[in-house]
Amino acid sequence: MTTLNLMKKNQSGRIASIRAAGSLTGRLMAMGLLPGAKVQVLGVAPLGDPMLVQLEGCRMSLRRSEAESLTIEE
Amino acid sequence: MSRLVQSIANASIDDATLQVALIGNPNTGKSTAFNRLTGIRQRTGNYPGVTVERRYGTCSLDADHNATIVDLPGTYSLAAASADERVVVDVLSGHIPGTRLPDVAVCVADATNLMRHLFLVSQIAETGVSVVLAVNLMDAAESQGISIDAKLLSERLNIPVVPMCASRGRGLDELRAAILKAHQQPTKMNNLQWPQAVHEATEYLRQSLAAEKARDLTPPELLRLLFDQDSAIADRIGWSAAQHRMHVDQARTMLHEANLDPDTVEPMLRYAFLAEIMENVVTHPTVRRATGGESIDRLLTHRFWGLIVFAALMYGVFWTIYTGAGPMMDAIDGTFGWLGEIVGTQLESWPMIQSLVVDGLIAGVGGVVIFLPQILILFFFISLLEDTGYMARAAYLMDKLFSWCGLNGKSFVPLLSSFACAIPGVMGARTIDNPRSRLTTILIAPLMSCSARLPVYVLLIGAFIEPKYGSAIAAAVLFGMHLLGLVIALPFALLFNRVIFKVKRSPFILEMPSYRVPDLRDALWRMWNRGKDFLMTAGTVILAMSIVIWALSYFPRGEEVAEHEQTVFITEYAAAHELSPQRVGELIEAGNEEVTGELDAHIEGAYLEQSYLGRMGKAVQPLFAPAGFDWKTTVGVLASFPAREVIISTLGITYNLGADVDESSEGLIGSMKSAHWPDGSPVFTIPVALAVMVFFALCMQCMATLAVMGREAGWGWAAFGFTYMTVLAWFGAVFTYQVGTWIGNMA
Ligand SMILES: Nc1nc2c(ncn2[C@@H]2O[C@H](COP(=O)(O)OP(=O)(O)O)[C@@H](O)[C@H]2O)c(=O)[nH]1
Repeated sequence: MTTLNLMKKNQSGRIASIRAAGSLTGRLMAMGLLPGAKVQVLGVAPLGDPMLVQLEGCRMSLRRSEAESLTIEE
Repeated sequence: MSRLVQSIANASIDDATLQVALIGNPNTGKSTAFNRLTGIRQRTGNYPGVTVERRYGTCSLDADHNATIVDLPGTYSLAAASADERVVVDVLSGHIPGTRLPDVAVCVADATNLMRHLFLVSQIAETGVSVVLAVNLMDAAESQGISIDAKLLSERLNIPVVPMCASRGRGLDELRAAILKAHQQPTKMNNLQWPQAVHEATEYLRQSLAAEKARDLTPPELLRLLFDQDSAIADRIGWSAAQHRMHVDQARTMLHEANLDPDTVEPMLRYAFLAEIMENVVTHPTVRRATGGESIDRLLTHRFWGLIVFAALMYGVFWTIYTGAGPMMDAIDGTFGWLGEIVGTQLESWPMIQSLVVDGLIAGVGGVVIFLPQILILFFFISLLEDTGYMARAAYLMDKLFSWCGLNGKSFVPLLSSFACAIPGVMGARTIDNPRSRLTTILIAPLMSCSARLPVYVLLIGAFIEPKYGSAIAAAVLFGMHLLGLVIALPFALLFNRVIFKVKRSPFILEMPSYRVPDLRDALWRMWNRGKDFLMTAGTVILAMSIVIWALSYFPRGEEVAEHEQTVFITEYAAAHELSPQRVGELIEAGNEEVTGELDAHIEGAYLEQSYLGRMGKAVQPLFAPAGFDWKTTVGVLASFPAREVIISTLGITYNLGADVDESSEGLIGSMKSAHWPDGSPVFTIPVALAVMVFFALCMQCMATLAVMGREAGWGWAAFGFTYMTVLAWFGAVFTYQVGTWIGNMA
């Protein structure tokens, strides 16, 4: 178990749970970041933030502070 | 021509026609579909009170039926966290003044990721509107080996499903037919059933609203109130924050008691429902085909190579703007100058009309048109960058640079463009979909040092810095002036976000759209629209202001001013050239060009000094005294509020050299160097020169930018931007002068 912000390039896993402040949880889920979904880290931007992740069907950029709310299981 | 006007007029919102809303996630091809459906019969504007673009147009569904189509901002859900998402909710619940509830909602979905797109469709259908589902990007799905059983999906959902490829115009006739049919027989989508606890919680909210005589909400609105903690609906019902928290918390506790997590229950249940619906609808290839986009993406988002490509692309864009726009701007300038001369000669016998037409009207129109090349070129590139999907990558690469001050990576391109000219920068902020970031970007964009400030820097650095300190320091000062705006702008962005908008950090989650081949026609079409937009809105304002400023600098114009100036001039000229005054008078009579030229410049200078503008300059000079400005500089500053480049010609006039000077004129540089205060000390010292430059770097002396800000963000924000920049510029100039003088005294 880890959180998405701690994952390295090319690591992948499945989303176990999402816990973000306020409406962010619902927003992330509406965008397809659901428990059970596969994620893979594609890379990190030149200045160290945000990160680029691959989901099934789309790729997304999110900041580490947002990635922190996603728990990932290998 | 008249047909064009006619059809544009028809595009206004007309109650009799069918209202259709286009809704979908970002990058699903909504705008492409909108363009194909409406053709040239479309208009853009803003939604009242928010910086969210409103696009609508007319489409004929068949021989007898027309529809007004509204292209809504892209959104992922109806949670309405940001103002552009809120617009979608407001349109769907009929809360936008001047618009009716839509009769039909066309939900545009992406065939390559259908399940996720159905999430929004399911929310929209819940509002009760008649829904048509357009599954776009069918060609992209096919090339990935994805096939979709549209018929099965349509049966399961009980709504019409139209497979479509908007960019090639496929499926649009079917869509028109489906819209008409969905209007005549409203559709009712099979949607998920909420568990009992959700019904009880919304019923509780409904009763609380009724008990406190607050506004009634529809059942789908009650759901939003229950599920979305920052729901936009909250500020419509008139509950106090405490009341709101109490009732919503109570309702959410009811969910907790039924073992439902109020934050996740909606997406979990919706997706579970959709998973059932989608069974066997989409067939994925057994082996996932790697798309060409993935390897391109690896390069373009690479920590090192991605940056190199990005820098090269930006360089290319701005190189094209500079080299491409330059000759066009010169040509425009030349054309208007030529026009002014021709018209001027025709009107020679009516000096006032001549001055109004030449210096007011023609110069004013020319001052508007001159910006067009930059706007057109920049928007052409922005369209291409957006449509290919690259803009999202650029935002990803640059985000960190801006995240600390509450902006995000999408501000990069508008701010960079503002170094060429703030007008396309402010207009380009439309690519930022978070309205608060967009507004902040618009407010700070004019602080970037645009190319119109360059002549001022060149004049003052060339006259005062370079001769004293050499070219290396001169170049450093020039660079520093360009950096100044940026260095001040970002903390101001932070300040606006904290103090005015009271946001700490807004989340920035950006989907990277697949790379797509852009449609050249669409790019040209958008470029043309932006140019037209600019000419129509900014043009009228700027023209009006040009005439006002012209009048202020022209009136009053008494004969005696010229006569008096001529007497003074003859005495001075005679003394300077060791001639008798009679001889000078004879030379003038005989039309000696050298003498009359100088005399005319002196008379022009005297007129300006006597004009309302000149008097204002003298009156407000004490205000600028702490920055070391004399009245001539002050008049120059006032005259250049409409357009900062005017300072050069105004200084030319006040220094009796005529308006035909430029930043490298020996005459102007010489006069400024030898200008003295009555006590004999020089007017322009290094601190004064720096203070003038700082003032120009920070002040919003550009009516065109102001007009565009008014149009993009509202006049209130334009006024705010103007005020804060003027105050900032004054403080900056005073600070520079005082500190500079203090250092000078120490040395
Ligand atoms: N391959 C393909 N590209 C499309 C289709 N529809 C739109 N596009 C492209 O997708 C990109 C985004 O489209 P746009 O209309 O701006 O999306 P919006 O954000 O939903 O308004 C543009 O480059 C379009 O040319 C389609 O059906 N197939």
